[in-house]
Amino acid sequence: MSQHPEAAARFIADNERMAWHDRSIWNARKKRDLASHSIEEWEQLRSWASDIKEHTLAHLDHYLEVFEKQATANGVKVHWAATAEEHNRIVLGILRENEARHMVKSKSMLTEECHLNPFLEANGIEVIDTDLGERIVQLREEIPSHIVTPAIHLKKEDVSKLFEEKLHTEPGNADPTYLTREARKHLRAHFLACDAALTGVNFAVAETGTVVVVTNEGNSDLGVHLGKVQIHSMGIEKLIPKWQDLGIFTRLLARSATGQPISIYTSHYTKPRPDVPMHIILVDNGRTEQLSREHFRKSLACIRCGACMNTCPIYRRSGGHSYGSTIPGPIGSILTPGKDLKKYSPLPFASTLCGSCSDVCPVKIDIHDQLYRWRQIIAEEHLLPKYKTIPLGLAGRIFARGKRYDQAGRIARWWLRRLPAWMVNSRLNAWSKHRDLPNAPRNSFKEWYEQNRPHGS
Amino acid sequence: MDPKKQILDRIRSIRQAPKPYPPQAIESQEKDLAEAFTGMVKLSGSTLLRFEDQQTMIDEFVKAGHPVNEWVSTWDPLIRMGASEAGKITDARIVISCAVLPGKFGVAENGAVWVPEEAMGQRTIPFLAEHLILIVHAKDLVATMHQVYAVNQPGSYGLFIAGPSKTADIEQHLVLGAQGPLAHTVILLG
Repeated sequence: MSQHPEAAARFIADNERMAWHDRSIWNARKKRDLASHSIEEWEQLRSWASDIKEHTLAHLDHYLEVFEKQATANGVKVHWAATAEEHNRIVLGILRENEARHMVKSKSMLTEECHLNPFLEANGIEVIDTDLGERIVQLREEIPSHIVTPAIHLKKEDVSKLFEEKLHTEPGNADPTYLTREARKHLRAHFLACDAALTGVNFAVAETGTVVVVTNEGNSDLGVHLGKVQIHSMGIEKLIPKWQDLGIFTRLLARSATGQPISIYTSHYTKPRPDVPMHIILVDNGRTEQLSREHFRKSLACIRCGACMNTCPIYRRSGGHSYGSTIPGPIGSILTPGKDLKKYSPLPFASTLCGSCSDVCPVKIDIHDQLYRWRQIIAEEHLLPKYKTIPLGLAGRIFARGKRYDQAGRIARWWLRRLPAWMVNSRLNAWSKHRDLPNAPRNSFKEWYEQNRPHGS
Repeated sequence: MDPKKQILDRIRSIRQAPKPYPPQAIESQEKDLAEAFTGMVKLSGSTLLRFEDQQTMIDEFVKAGHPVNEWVSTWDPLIRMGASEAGKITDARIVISCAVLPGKFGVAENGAVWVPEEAMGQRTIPFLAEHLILIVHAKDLVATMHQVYAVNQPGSYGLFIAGPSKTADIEQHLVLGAQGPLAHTVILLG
């Protein structure tokens, strides 16, 4: 079971580091605000993007077939994988067919989801993640803690130590420019030595059979153009119908993700180079199941910008690793329970339901409503822990009857005014872990209103 | 079972209400495109140089002491002046200090330049060069991404480039020069 509360408690135990993490990620949210506010028609773009994604999901079978036909006509080999295992076997098959043993990979949350690296490594393939952040977490044998900035949980001193050990950089030199240049040299050698490249996909255009990959570092293209075979792995929900739709999505993606007006490289791979095979793998791995759930279908519209994470008060203060799932944060908390409800049942509760995630989502996913729906399903399926069911059951009985509620309120206020503070804010009261309860008033709001409401109303 | 059939059957078994493709009416935003483009290029950590025309650029920029014979290009005037042809660079290990490529369109809202495969000589050039210079004509500027996708074509391969390669993966410190070029210049003609 993913134990978000326990993992989060460990994260916040280092108060200073938590505050740093919170500030640092809030910074990304602020940049997103500046970038989105500079576009007058932002809300219109969100509506179009949402409608296009809903349209595509409603006709996904059609667009998948159109895409396959177009890509095949472009000289690309298209594969279908119902599961993660099938996907991994297809990748291995392509590598063996091309006698490739050294693969460079640019960022792909899908291959994280499929656990591709350990599978390939067990089969004698060297896999090098080439996005700087992703390479850092790979060297640390961790998973990304954020879908856009995988190593956001680390300080530069952590990276310095890691590079000193693995890349033999100068001890104690934590200058980000120095560390980035050393990583550049290290990765350039791998690019030049690679014989295969695999990338994720941001958008796949059905009309033209094109896959679009967005990076700031240029790592996707260096791999793809230097390898002897290129592979693009994509979830089936990455499709969009038309070439012109890219106009809408490219305007939204980087502004939502990092606050940039556009990422540095937006690469459109349509046809292979002469004599270099190009493969696209269409992966289901639970997506059609999510599509079948009416209330959670819209979660498949996600374009993986990470804005919901950057704005989430829980994510910022608990870190991506606390979620125990490939995709953390609000969007991860509505996608992952669909894979294994029992295992991931704590995730929909890792939210204040404040709704900020839904507000910043560039494709208008009703994230907080879906979190709430998962909570209801989890309660119905009796997957809640006792520390939730017992107080909730009690509260339910009190809230159900007006008189009982008034009476309970009176008793609680009476005791709260008389009990010593150390008892009110004791360890039993989880709410008071980091703050004290305010003083209880003499009257309830209801009583106050009865006395103060204007006459005649 | 055939995974393709399995996936498609699964999708078809799900009852979903048809949802129309949304009509989009994108208004072209008439403003000073060159000014907006210039601002965005500079914002991304790039240099922008503007010349009246090609000849002025050659006289005032290329001939101002630059080692053209060390450059790589697909642009005839530069090749005639001694730059190597980008299509003929066969070894990816050779250090390319500077590549000069013609861009096809520039986008005012974000400073991105559309570079189709034909303009690269080969696909690796924009990434292996340590300094990338893109040339764009002012008449080829468009306001937004909508307008550029209305005119550019997928071709075999093409991309938008919006600055020097960069990363902020180490503690959100922006570093220019990640895996691709360390420096980026856009030359605006006209």
